[in-house]
Amino acid sequence: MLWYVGIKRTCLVLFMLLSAVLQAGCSVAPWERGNLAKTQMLIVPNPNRTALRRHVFDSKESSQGGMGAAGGGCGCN
Amino acid sequence: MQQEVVVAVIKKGKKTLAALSCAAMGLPGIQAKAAVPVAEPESNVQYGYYREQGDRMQAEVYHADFILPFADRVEFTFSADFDTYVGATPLYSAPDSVPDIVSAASAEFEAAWHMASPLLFSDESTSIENTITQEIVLREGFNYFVDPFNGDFNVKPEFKKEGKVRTIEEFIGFSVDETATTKQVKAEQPRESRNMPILGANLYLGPVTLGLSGGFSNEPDFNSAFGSSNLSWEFNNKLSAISLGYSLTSNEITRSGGHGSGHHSGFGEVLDETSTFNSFTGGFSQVLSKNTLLQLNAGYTAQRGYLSNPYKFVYVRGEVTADEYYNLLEETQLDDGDWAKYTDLEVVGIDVFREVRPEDRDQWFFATQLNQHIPALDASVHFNYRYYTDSWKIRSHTFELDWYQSLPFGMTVTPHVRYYSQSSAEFFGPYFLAPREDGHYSSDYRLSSYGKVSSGLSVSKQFAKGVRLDAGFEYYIHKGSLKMGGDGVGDYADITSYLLNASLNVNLSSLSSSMGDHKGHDMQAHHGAHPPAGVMAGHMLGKAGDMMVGYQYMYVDKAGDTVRGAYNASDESIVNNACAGKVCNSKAREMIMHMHMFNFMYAPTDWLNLMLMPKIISMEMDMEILPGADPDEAHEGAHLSEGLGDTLMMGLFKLYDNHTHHLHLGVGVSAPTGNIDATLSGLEDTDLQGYGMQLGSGTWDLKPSLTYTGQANSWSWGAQANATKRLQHRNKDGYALGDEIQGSVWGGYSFLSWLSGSVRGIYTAQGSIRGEYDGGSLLSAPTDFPENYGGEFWDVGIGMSVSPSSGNLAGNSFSVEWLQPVKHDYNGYQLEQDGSLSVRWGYAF
Repeated sequence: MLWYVGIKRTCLVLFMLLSAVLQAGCSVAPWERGNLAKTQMLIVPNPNRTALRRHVFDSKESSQGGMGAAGGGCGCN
Repeated sequence: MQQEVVVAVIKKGKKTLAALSCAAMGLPGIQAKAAVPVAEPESNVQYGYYREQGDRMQAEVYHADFILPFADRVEFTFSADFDTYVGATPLYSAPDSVPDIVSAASAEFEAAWHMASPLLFSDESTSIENTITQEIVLREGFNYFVDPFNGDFNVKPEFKKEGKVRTIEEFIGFSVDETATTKQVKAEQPRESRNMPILGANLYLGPVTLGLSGGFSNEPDFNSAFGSSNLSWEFNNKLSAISLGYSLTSNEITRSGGHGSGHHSGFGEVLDETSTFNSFTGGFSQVLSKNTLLQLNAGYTAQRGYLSNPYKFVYVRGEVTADEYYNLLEETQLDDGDWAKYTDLEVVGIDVFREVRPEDRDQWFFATQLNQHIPALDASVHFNYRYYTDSWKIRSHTFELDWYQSLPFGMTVTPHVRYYSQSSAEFFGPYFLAPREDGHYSSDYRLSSYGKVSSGLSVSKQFAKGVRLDAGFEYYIHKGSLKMGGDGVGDYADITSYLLNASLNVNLSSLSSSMGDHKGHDMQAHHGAHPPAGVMAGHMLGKAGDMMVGYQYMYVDKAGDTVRGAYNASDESIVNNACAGKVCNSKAREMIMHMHMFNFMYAPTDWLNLMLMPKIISMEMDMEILPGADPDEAHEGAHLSEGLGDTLMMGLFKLYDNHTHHLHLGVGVSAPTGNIDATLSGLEDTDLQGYGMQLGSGTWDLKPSLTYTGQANSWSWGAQANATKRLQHRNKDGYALGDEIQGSVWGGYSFLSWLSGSVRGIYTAQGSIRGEYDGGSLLSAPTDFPENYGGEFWDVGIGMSVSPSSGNLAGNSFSVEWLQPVKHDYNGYQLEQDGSLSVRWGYAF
């Protein structure tokens, strides 16, 4: 059950990060968000390329999740 | 883009800021571009090519998507993916010292059984058995015989058996020590393809966005249906966002048994299994500063059902003992069920079995992404980390670093590196020297412990008019020794691979602001004048700078009778006359073709349009065996051929236009990008399919056309003459398709401002094939002979066209046409055509 303990620890770290983060972000005024609006600052700047790479990784590696959009199928032998 | 403009305005006069409400401006928040629906349709096409080293897997991936806004708060999304795969893939691995008899697994019970017999009946086994027998005789003396004193020199059954069992042990019990190396046994995979259409909708309700999507993924042996929903909520003045997602995937894994038709034939028992995945994700994003964004994600997926890979095997020693092999070999009438007395696994060879994975898997991941903008360089760095763990005891770490560097002229260059490391599944082994208690086995190298390093570069160029081109390259090194901590699986499965991609993004929202009322004008010019859907290159863009993206689908169905000339041919006539003096063994029963064409048009000047049209073709031909056929040469069942077709490049020249009458000349060249080596089995270098099942002509072709269109009031009319001239005498396989000329005349009437109907008459003459396959064809069906191609065809087309000139769908045109054969006079013997359907969508801007 090692993996379960890992999850618990991860959750704790996540919670601490969250509280720190929420306080930090209050100060960015709307007129200061020009850089954040750039395409290169999007979480996924190029969704098609990300989806293609995700399909390669999902087919060739054993870890799934955490890379965005839903999909299905195999196409992986 | 729009938002950047807003921000720039705000910077100039901060005092006006207070007056502007957040909602009205659409403040750039977490996902600046995602919080409002797109203003105009957006389209993407992408090509991807993945290749592993040597003769291993190659995959081609074609992707297209559209985003269409509908009302203020809704957008619809549609995407389609089409992939093809071919190449060798690892079947299983075993110790290097494994004898050939043992390693020759086939996945087919009968073959496995034939392979088992050499354990007892080969020259090799006879000589081993003789040695063992001599040893037993020396050991047992007269005991060896039933009753030597009576002159009965028959061997006692128990010693006979001991000799045989020990012979088998010699084969299967070869020594494996700790220093033994592992070898990978591979199998050639037939060419296969996958289709994946996905439909979706995004609903924008102020700070809350709801996304829904659903789709299918279809492969011959793996069908999957999936749906997902995603809810995100922006708060804290759009500095924070929470998202929740759920998705459900339902898979059906099938395999038709043994001597199937084409796909994975010879892959053993019939398989009909299902699996279900339930997936939950939660995310939190936070703006940390004016240059920093952080996202945290976590997710859980429950996979239930058949999770094994039906094409992977495992080597397991001791699952069936020498004693048990002996018993099996002694039974004269052996069938599938008999193995079940000794093992729960599916036997595919000596000590080789189909892999079995647990029927449930719980997966967890935690991921984080940090985006940091560096204003001095106009660059952004993205750092990603993901931790993954599952109930199969696989744990992985993924790190990725991307550097987005803006350059002048709308260029962005993005170098990136990625490192991935995973531990192995608890039931993984390169091979198993003893059975496992839980009965789970896999030697799939993707479940092993390894590391993978990759790095790549992508380049993006933004053109004016909202057109962006992207191209990327990434190189992967997969190695056991690259695992974090270094305790990987060894080097037998090490492999390198690369991924190439190129994509075109047409973003019409940035266009609408710069071009004002242009679109209305454009629509006026085209209104009512769209030629029927089946007419190729039938209309031109109105003025310099215009662009169009389009999609055209064509469906052709040939079913039923084989025709000679214009009359039905009997089977007897086909057998004796349709195969160039040979006896015909098979004939086609039905042929279905789906063709997907993607159309890009651009008008650099008023009198010239440039057109590019790649296409994807999917064909299926069902064959049947003719009476009296030679079974060794006949082939029956379904044969597939799918992939990229020939690519058409065309220039359209305006010759005359006075708003009532319009005349233009088209000069096109078709590049031989379609594969002409499609085989009956799907495996490379085996018997070729008939000429008509090849995806391209194999030659460079010239395609000239002359089109006249006219319109007055509600009426429109037109005529086109076009031809196809093969520019090369022969293609690489030794033949050239026939040249073709076609003439058509049509008339149309607009019932409503946006709806019109058309009637068209078409005459086509096509030559028969010149030359022939220089080998590699079975020559057993009419479709294998060049004289059975071409002919003269008269068809009538009935069509409808919709092109709204105002509202949300303005700029779109949609048309459909059915072609009904009237009189067809075929060269030689051919399958009769039932008709064809053309559907066309275009968007001009």
